[in-house]
Amino acid sequence: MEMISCRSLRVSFGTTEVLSGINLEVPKGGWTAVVGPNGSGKTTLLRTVAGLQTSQGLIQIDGHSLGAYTRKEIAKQIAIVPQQPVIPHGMRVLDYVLLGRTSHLGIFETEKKSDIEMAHSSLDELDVSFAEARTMGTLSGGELQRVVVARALTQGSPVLLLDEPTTALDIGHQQEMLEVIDQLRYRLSLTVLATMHDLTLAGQYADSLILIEQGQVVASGSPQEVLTEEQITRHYGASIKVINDEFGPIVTPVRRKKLNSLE
Amino acid sequence: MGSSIQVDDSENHEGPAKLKIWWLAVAALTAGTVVLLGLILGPASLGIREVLVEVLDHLPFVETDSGLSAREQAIVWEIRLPRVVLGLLVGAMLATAGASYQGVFRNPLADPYLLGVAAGAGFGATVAIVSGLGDGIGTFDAVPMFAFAGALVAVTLTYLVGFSAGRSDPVTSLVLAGVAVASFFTAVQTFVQQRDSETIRQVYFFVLGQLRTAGWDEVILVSPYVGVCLVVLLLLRRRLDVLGVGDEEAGSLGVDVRLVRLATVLAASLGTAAVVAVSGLIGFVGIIVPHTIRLIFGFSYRVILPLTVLFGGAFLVGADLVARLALEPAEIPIGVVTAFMGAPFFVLVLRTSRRL
Repeated sequence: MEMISCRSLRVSFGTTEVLSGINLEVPKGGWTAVVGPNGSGKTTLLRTVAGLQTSQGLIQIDGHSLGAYTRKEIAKQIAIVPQQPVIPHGMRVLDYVLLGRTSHLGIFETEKKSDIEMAHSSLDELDVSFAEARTMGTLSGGELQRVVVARALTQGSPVLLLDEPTTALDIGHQQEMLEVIDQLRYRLSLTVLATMHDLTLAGQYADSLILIEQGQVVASGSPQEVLTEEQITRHYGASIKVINDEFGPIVTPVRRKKLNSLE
Repeated sequence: MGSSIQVDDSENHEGPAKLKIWWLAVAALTAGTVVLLGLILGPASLGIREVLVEVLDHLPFVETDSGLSAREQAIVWEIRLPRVVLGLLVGAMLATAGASYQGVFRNPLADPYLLGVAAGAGFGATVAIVSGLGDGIGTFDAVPMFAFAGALVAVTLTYLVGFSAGRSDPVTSLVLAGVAVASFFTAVQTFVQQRDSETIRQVYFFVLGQLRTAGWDEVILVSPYVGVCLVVLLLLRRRLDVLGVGDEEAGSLGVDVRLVRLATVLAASLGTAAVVAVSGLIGFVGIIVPHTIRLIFGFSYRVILPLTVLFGGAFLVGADLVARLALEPAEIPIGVVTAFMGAPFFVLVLRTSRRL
């Protein structure tokens, strides 16, 4: 059963077409990574699936057309972790995480006990409960990323969209973050769609990949099918080596030519 | 996990930002004290007890005798009380509108006059004064009506210009439209005023703000607007917190950002237009009160807005008291007092607060 399904998705900014005819399917409980060179339209694709960008074509979430939903109904289906979240520095962490409950509250309603418990358990899941009384401005990069994910989790939506979830993190925190997301995916049966910069991490954590270039899908399938030396060289213009590992291909840059500076 | 001491911290979890009852009590007590001072102080000094009894006497089903003479009763009932109540309404409205604007525009410098309300009201009032309607058509005072209309025209214009101009960044284009509209109305107002130098003093007093009342008329005029607008803004306070994460994220959290912004700006502008019509352009309240509350009580609008209503009212009644008494029998324009008292106090809070 498909949780996210896009057909012939098109997005234009003025006369520039940013996404041209994207087809995408993510099964329930699956993790699909969107990869592609800079400016290929990864973030736009994510924003479009979240209903934050006007588009042509069909987007279905759990079999229902996204266009038929109100903002509130979309928020109950889809939680998004932006690449560069806007941080209200003076807000306390718990209050920030509770913002995730907005779609479950009437416009004039305030949080119930169950909402607060949910925020606490999200903070626990991401190991940042210790920071709940601090203000957002005092968090480190790693803590901040966890808190933003905790907010998305508090939304209680079955679909989790992540835009470059590891950008701000060092290599250890990157792995830790992706492990946490993977555990949550199994435990809470979440469907994950994530744009990812790091091809190795994308291949090791996602079940399937789509590679987009200039707004078009140029390859899709399992990590082994997408992350080949030939395709990455062609679409990224990179010189790389692919090493096969039991959890997926390892993509590493290699230098082919060396300038002989002494000549 | 790795710690050897198991601590059950489930009991230590903090709750969300909540308005503590005692904060509200302090705010209410402050407002009550200032109101009482506003009633007993003045050229004719009255006793606290007598004034309290006198006010009680006017409540339904209460029959007492305050012992005040008929003249003193009139001072309390017809002169001081309406002025104090008007101060509460104007202060509450300006401060709350300022706080709401700061939330909606995510700009700490936003004040209730951001979208041209002040310039529009100033223009309307000037037109009324210059054309001689200020002295009243019969018993009807035209200045508030013209000021109210001018303020509404200016804000509407700002809104129309701002929304037709900017699709990608509606907040910035709205603020810029406000700058343009305010400049235009100020220019026209100055032009109209210059052509008639005899009324310049009257216009000047309007621009500096005043809480002089003829009685209950002004209170009756503004209270429906202030009441409705304050209720709307208070109900939207959680949504204002959500807007703190930006339009797009607020949208992804399920908020109809345009609707919330429209409702907030409409309520804040309408309320401001109403109070400006009767009080003139009292500056500073809309910035200083919400920021002081923010620095002391935290950044959540759920806390800020209710306290702003009470402290805003108290602040303006207090400022009016100083305006009336400092150079008795002359009156200082209240706008001068709000800035003169407010600025140093704000600097003090800024320096001692650990929240920034």
